[in-house]
Amino acid sequence: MNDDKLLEIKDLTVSIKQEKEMMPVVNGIDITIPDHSIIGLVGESGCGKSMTAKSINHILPSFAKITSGSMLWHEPSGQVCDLVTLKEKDIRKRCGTDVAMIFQEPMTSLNPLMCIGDQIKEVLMIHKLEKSQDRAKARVIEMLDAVEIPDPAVRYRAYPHELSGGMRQRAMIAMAMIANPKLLIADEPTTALDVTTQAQILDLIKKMCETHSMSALIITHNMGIVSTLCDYVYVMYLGTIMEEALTDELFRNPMHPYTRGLLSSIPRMGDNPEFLETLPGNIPVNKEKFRGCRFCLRCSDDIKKCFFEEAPLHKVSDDHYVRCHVAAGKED
Amino acid sequence: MSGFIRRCAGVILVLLGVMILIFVVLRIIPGNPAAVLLNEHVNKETIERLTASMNLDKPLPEQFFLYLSGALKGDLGQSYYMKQPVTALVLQAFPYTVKLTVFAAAFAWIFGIGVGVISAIHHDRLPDYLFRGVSLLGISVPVFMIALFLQYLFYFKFSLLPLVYDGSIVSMILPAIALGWNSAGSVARLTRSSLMEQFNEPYLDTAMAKGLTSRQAILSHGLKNAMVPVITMLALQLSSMLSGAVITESVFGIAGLGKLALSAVETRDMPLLQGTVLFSAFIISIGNIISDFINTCMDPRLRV
Amino acid sequence: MAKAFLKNKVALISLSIIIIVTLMAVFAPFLTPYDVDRQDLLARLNAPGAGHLLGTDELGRDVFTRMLYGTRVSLLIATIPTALAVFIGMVLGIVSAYYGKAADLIIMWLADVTLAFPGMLLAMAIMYTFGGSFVSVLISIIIMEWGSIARIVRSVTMSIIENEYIQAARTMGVKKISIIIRHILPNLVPTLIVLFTLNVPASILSESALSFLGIGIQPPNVSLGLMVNQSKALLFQMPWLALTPSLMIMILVLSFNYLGDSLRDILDPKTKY
Repeated sequence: MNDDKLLEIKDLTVSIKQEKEMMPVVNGIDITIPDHSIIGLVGESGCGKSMTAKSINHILPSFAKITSGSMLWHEPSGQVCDLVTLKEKDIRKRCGTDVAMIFQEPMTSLNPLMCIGDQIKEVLMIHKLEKSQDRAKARVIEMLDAVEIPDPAVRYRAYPHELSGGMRQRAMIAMAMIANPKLLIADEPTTALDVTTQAQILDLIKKMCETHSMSALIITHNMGIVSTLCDYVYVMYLGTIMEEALTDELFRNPMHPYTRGLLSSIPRMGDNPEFLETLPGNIPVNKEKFRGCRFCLRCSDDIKKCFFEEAPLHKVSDDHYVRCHVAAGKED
Repeated sequence: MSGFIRRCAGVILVLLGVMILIFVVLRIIPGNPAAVLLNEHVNKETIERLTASMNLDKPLPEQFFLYLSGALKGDLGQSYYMKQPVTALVLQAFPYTVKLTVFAAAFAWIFGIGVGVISAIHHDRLPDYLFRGVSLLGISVPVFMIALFLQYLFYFKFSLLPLVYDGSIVSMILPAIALGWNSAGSVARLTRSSLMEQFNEPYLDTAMAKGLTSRQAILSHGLKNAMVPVITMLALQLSSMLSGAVITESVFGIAGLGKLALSAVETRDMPLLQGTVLFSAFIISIGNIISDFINTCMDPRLRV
Repeated sequence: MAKAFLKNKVALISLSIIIIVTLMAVFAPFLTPYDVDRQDLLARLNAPGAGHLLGTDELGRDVFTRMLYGTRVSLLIATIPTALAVFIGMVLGIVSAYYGKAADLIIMWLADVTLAFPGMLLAMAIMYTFGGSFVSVLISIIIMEWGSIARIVRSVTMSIIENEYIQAARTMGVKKISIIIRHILPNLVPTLIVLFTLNVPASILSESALSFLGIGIQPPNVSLGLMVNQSKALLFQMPWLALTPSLMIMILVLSFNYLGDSLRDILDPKTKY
């Protein structure tokens, strides 16, 4: 892992408007993305991980808003810029060129009425990276080839509905990569794909990060993806980071009961389980102002303290932090 | 392509139904139109001669067959009152209606889409409330009220524009606005709702993640998608415009299809009325095919 | 649902306007001292004033009185043919969706055929055959409106049939007719209410247009459209003669449109037609 920081998210709070009240869905999280590394953000659906991703390039839905925090972008020149405070015009200049994004559903995330080549070319045209249409087209075809789409010159003219899910996601990756961004945000990039395609797409993302010396923030609910792809992992539950560690460390020594739950729900070859391990209970719907640990209602080893006081982020080692009274107690 | 052929077959079936329906409606009451047409004290032979010349002495199925085979050859019969072939009269009137409808549609679409887009972008804020009110007013005002109001204001009060159509482009302005007003309202309403539906589509997020501002994304990606249902409405719009043209043409004295049909009703000229109604249904069917065609060009998913 | 309606100011205002206008039309004889057809040739073409609230027409008849009676016609046209068209469209739409096959083909073909005409021109053909009268206006409005109603009812019914509880009832051998009455009709009610409210304005406008052209309601009967027709020659001298009945039509149509829109938002937020 690299020590040069690319993006530092500090105390980020995102709130959504619900019946005239602003309700936080992301509660003051800190995430650091270093240069040339792949960071994972894991959690169940609805935990706020997509909101975190969308807040980076300001594409939050209209009912959601960043209510506090900063996102410090470290330029190679050493300058630091807070993305939160940028006006729309300025953040759009960075979208595609500094920060690119790929989405979960490659069908709906592509404009159905435009052929994929033109949609990718648009990135070059918006940012005036290429003046001649022909040269831009040639670059797009080159990129389509790089993401391993067969027959790139022909596929340039294909419409999204004419491609398979995997091909569409490759086209999305081509669109994200065409302007050589420094950070790729991938929001559940393989959830909508079948298993064999998933592996190919993950390989492709990894390869792209290496060849373009790019960082990535991978948002997923799948611990398997984390283990194959990520260097460092943040585990998020109900808008709060519960545990963070180097991937190996987290898999070897998961400390938070939620992380352990997530890990034990991965079915393994060789086991012949009667039941698939699951986390008991569901994500609480009513997220009223609750002072205790967010996980206590589903936690197996609950102690009284958990109901009244949220645990601070406890440092286990330089590369491992956990937010749990019990785990912190055992350490001491 | 097979879809297109099936569509055309459907249109032909519908046109056949159209011919049957109009034939039946105009003949459901027994009685000899020839006798109505001529004065009652004309001698019997004259009536019989006219009856025979109009095939009215033949049984109804044979009359229908003669009328159908005539129509296929472009012969819609002879006008009772004007003593001219109906086809010639219809083709004479048609260019006026085309001119009126094209101007009205241009007004309706430019105005309607503009208002709809502004309304959608500023949804649930002041401009939206204002424009929604305007477009609802647009679809709620009777065509004749707009027509008379425009005449009063621009001819009588300000003497800016001619009272009736005199062949000049200037004199087409008021009729076009009067006729386009209703359609502008419905186009605006549909554009607004259709565009607002696009707001939740993930491809807009993609466009913004590429570097387009939200407004650029909506106008360059969202609007094209939003136009698909609006274009589907094209044929419906054409139909309501041809309906409205009857009123507009009568108020502004334009010798188009609507006025022809109206005078056919007033002079009890059955072949002329039959021909005009049939022709306008034919126009609407063509409008249907055109709107299908435009949609297929715009939306690759429809090309199978 | 009632609560949502009471909260919706637009719906409430438009409903109250409709109720007030209806009451005025129903109690017209008590609201005006004049008789609708009484001509007073000495008081021709009076401007609006104390004696005649909205003035008099070219035969000396009180315009306000005639407007109230004309509104009666508009309201009758708004309700009777629209209700009949909704009923016919409902029956044929359900039959088309539920029995399918030949019935579906024929009904949808008929709907397409009636929708292929510009409504006004088809109505003119009906006027030609039956002559201008309330009944022929009624018939032509039904013919103009049933087709699109049947189409919408058909597609809504089809999506209701998709529901598993109906599939279950079918598998258990419940009779078709009782599935329609017990399960389909209740689910169609919101759609039907909205369709009715949204077709009312179309009916009012069609009647007024036919009467304005002089081929709809005939004198000595009164109709708002006919009043505009009779006064258009005096447009520049006495604009209020044409304006007041037009405004009345507009207010009615606007209120029903607003009411229909709000009802759709409350009852049937997902569908749009």
